[in-house]
Amino acid sequence: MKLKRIYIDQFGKHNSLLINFENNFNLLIGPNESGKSTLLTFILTAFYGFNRYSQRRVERNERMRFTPWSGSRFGGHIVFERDNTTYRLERSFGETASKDEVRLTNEHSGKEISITKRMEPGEYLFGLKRDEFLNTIFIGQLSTAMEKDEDIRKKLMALKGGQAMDTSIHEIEETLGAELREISPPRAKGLLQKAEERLKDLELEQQEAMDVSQQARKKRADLDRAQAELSRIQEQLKDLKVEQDIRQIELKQKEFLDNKERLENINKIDQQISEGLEELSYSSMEEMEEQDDLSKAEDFINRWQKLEAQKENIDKHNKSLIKKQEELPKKDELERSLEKLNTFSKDRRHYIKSVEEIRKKSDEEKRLFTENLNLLEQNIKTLRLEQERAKQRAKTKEEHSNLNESIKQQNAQKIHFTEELEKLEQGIVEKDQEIENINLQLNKQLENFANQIQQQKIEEEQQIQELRIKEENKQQKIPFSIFFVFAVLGLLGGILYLLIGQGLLTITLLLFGIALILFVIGLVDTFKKFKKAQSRSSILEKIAAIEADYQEKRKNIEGIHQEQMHNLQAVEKELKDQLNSIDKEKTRLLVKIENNTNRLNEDQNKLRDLELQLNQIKQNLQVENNKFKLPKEFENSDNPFVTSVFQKNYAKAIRVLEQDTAQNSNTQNDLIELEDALNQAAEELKSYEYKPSLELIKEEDQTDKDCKKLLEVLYKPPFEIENVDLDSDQMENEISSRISEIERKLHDLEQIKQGLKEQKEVKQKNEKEFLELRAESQKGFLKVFAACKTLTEAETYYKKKVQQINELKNLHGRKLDRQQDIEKQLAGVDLESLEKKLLELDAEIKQLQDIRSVDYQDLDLEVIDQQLKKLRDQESLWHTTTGNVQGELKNIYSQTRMLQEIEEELIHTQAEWEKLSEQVKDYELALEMIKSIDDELQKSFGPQINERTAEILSAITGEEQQGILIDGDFEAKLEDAESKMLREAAYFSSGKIDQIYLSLRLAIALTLYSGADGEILPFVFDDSLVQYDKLRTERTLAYLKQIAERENRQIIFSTCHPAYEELMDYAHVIYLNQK
Amino acid sequence: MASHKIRILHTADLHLGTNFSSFPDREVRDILRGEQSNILLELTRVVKAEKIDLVLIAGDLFDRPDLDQQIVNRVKNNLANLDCKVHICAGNHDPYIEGSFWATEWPDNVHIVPHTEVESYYYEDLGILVDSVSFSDIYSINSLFTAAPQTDVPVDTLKLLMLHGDFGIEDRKSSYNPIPISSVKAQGYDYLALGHIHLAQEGNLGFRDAQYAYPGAPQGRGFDELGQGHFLVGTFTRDSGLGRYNQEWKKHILNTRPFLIHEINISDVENEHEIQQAIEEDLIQWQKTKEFDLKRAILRLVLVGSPDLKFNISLGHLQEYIKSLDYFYVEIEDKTKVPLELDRWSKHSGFGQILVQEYEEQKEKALPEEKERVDRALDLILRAHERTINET
Repeated sequence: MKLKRIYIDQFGKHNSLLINFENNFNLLIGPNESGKSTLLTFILTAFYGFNRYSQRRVERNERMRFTPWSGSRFGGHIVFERDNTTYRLERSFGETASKDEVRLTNEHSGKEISITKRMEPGEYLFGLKRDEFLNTIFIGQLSTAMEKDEDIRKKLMALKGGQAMDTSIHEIEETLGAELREISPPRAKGLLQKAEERLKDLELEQQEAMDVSQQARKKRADLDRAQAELSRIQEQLKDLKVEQDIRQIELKQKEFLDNKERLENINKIDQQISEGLEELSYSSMEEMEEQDDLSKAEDFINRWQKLEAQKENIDKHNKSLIKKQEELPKKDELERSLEKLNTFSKDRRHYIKSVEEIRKKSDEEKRLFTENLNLLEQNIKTLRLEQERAKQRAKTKEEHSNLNESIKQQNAQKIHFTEELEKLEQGIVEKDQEIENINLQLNKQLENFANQIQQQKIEEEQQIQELRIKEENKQQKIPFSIFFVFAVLGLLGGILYLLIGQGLLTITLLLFGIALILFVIGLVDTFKKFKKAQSRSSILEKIAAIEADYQEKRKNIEGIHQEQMHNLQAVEKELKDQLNSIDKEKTRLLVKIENNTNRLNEDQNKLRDLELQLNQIKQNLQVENNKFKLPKEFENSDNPFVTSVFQKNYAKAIRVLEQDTAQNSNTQNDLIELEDALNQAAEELKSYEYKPSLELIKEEDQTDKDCKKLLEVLYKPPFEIENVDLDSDQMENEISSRISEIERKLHDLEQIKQGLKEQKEVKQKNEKEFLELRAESQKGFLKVFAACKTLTEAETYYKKKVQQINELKNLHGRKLDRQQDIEKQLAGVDLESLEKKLLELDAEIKQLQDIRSVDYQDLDLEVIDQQLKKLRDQESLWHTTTGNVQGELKNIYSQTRMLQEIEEELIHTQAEWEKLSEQVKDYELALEMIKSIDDELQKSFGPQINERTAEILSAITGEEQQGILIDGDFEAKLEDAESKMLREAAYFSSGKIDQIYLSLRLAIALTLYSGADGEILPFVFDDSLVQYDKLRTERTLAYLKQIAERENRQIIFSTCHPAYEELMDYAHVIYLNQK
Repeated sequence: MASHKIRILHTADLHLGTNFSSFPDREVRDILRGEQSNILLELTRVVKAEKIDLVLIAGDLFDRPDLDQQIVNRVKNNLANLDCKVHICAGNHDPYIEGSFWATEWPDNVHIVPHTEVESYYYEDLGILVDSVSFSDIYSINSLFTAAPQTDVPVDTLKLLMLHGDFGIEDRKSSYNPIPISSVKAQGYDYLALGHIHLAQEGNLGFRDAQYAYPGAPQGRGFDELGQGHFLVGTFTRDSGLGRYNQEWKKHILNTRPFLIHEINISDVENEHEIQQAIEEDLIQWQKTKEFDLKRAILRLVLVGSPDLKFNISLGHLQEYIKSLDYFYVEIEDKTKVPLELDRWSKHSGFGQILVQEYEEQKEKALPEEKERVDRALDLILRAHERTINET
């Protein structure tokens, strides 16, 4: 935006004041009280009115200050250019704001531009609030600390958000947080918590180790107790053992005495035996043993008695056999029945075998069919699966071709779009050409004009030059008035000669003469000059006329030129508009093409997927086909079922599918056909039942025929039986039981016959033996029985004798037993040595009695034994106990680590824990610092403003660039050169503060209110550098000049120092005191 | 007996049977375990070479009271092979417990001190009296050595006291047999053979030239026991004029694997390769100052300094690299700091400026003992900052 002109009708001390501004640097110079500030205030109030938001009194005062004495309305207008359009802002002020009038019009067309009432024109035009305007581009005399301007702040913050900072605080915070969490996470166990736990565990372990040690001590005490108890028991045991020994010796003594008594008894028995032998007329036992008469007698008696018994038995047996024989049927009868039964059985078996064979064949046939049936059903299932696949394939293919179609279409579309695009580009080229042509034309025209003007100018100038040359030529001729001088010189020379006196009069006269002549000549020359001067002024007039004429002509030509330029520009603009619209169209097309291409790519990807899918299906098909099997016998079968199902439908289905597989294509019709075929096949399979083959039936008939005769017999078994099937197991059992019964009976008959025969022989033998024995008895008895005359007598004698011998033998046995027993006990000791032994034992007892400490005489040996046993048990118990305790003690420390080891680890872990705690604190501090840095950064506007301010400050002060930090309240902190610390602005001199804030304002203004889409607004300075020294002022102005040039920014700078004019020879100077 | 020299070898805290569980590498553990028993072979050599009369083992010969019988048997065999007497007391790591290996049969030349009371054991042939007492538990708050037992031995007997525990404890409490100097000082002993403290130390008891010593652990077991261990070998000569023994001690350095901690400044490095080089060169320089081969040692290298690195040092990688140079065991610790260039940071607009500002404020605000924390916190921030920069 550029201010063009201000006209103040009436405002403060100004009235009817017109000021024109130039585009770049405008320097407003005027002494104090000349109304510079008033003029600038007018600019402010024209755009923003008087401040209505401040206190009424102040506002009134401000308004009053600029109200004219007459109290009438006051105001004026500003003409400014914006976006190549010139506007006029008129404002007239009344007593109050409501009476103010504002009008914004297009300077050219005079059309009014409406602004909402709530908005001041400044806000509308610049997008700046009044304070914002005052805080940035309108820079007053004292530009100290900025007002806290929320709007600027918001804009700056938004700016900060839009640009990335060099370091993300949050990333650092996150990294630190993550590292801290590793040590000490909020919930889970971190290193610190683990260390804490480990410490607790170790303390527990330490306690445990102490406990173990305590236990060991207790165990040790237990061990001592057990060992004491053990030795006490062992003492007691010793005493008891002695007592036991005594008792045992006493027992031995008693035993010896007993043996002595027994020996005496044996001697008595010996005597009795001798007496018995004498009676039996044997001299010794040995002799008695040698006699065998008695045994012979015994043998005879036994044989007699046996034969008697035998005879009785034979009779009894014979009788029973005969009785049995009578009970059984006759033999030939039984044999006949048996033959009948056997014949029946054989026939029956033959029949059953035939029937079974047929049944087996029939079963086999049935099984085979069922298997095939299953196979068929399975195949149908497989076929259905394939059918599904075929459908799937068809679908995929359809999709495939659809996609292909779509891709083709899209390709076509793409080509179409590209063509259109090319056309458009052609259009652009054409339009460019057109513009080029027009430009060329225009340039040509301009060149012509320029040539024309140049030529004219040259001509005119030539004319003027000629005139000038003429005149100058005239002037350059030697001035004749010089003759006067020579005349005077001649005269003076003459006089000198005369005065010297000695000179020649002639020479004096000659000199006078020459002087006279020269004087005359001088007079004539002066006259001529006067004449020429008159003619020269007339020539000068003429030249002026020609120059005026030239200027007029030039103006005319320039006017025409300008007009043409305007026209040309209009045409060019129109063309550019057209170009723009073409460009838009082009962009739209490019977007379309891109979309189209994306879609195309997408579809092509889909297509690729589909092809993969198809391949997969093909592969699957191959695998399934390999699985597919057909029963061989179905191919050439005469079975009606097979014909109907297999050949008609099933084979058809297979054919369709095979065709499909082979050609990898099928039609909908084929599929329908396949469906029908499969359905029909399945239907028929369902209705299928097994029927035996003709061959089988034939064979069955033959069997029946063959067996017919047999059957006649067979169904009449040779025994009575009800409701039993011929081929049943019951019948079989019946037959075999009957046969075996008959066979048994036959066998019995045979045996009885045999028995009778044997009995007859035995009886004969018995009778013979009797005869022999009788003959023997008649020969007389043996020697022993000499006195006996009959068998009975002998028997009685025999019994008595036997009794006597037995008694004697018994007695002898007893004696031998006793003798053996004693011999064993005495081990060959005789009575004499026994006596001696007894004495020895007595001595031993006495000795033992001396050893023992406790007398257990009142206790029985048995009790002592019991006690001993008890004590021994106790002893072994205590022994085990001490052993156990020792074992426990030995291994007690295996439950725990060594105390010292634990304590060392405890110290170590404690140190570790402390280190971790320190680390946690370090991290916490780091996080705290980061947070506070973050807060600080949140408050500040980030690096861009800071750096820009620092840059400007460096440019203004000529010092090295220093760090500056601007916070959210626009408080500035500046790096102190010495300490390198950031310090509050107040720390520095007021001059420096001024410079800092000027820099900040400029930085904000340059950051926020310049750039590609931002309007470049003029900067207004109201004697802002009043506190600066000359050097800083120069630097500041140089910087401002730089801005003005670089950004094509208008700057209006007011000052009361005329010296600025010298400093700013590039500026457009406006003097305010000279109207 | 006047000119007779008595030669004593004093050791303690061998901790045989240690399983070195703090080493994650199983192979390393196995090697260290295997090498432990070499100490006893070395003992055999020294005893022979130095013509030792009596070996004193002042406790903690074993690491645990419930060791494998196999280990104990091996030790028994080794000790049986010594051509001298061996006097052993039990320490807090291997207390004398009923039923433990101490209660089993030991070779004839080995005497195990009982735990029940202070024992006076007189080697008549050597003219040495050894008073000692064994630990019966894994700790003992009370002093085990209550009073010297009264014994009737010749005047020129060499009197030794062997104890396992914390010597020099006057008022401080200890769970491991506190031994106040006062309790042993004027008891007429020529030498106090101590065990329990793994760091070798020695001194004068302050009574008739009597001395005391902790020989230290022959083989370190962690980075809190640095350097090479040794046996103490003493020669006692009777000075009949003074009526006491002169003693002379020397250290027999053992060729065990030492634990060593070493700092390496890597301030000047710029990349990983240079770190490797710096470590390698430093190790070479360090080796020149050492008599033994550093490659055998158990090393902890601590990286210090403030290198300007744009990445995190990969310790695992470095460790692997150093190991590849045939070093037996190396662990590396990173204690480097991010270089603190406040000047550079203060030039940074925005973040850098405020960071420096915040740092200065915190530093000023912090208590004297917390000032370093501010530095550390700054270091953490700078590290995190570098990391985020490197990630993006």
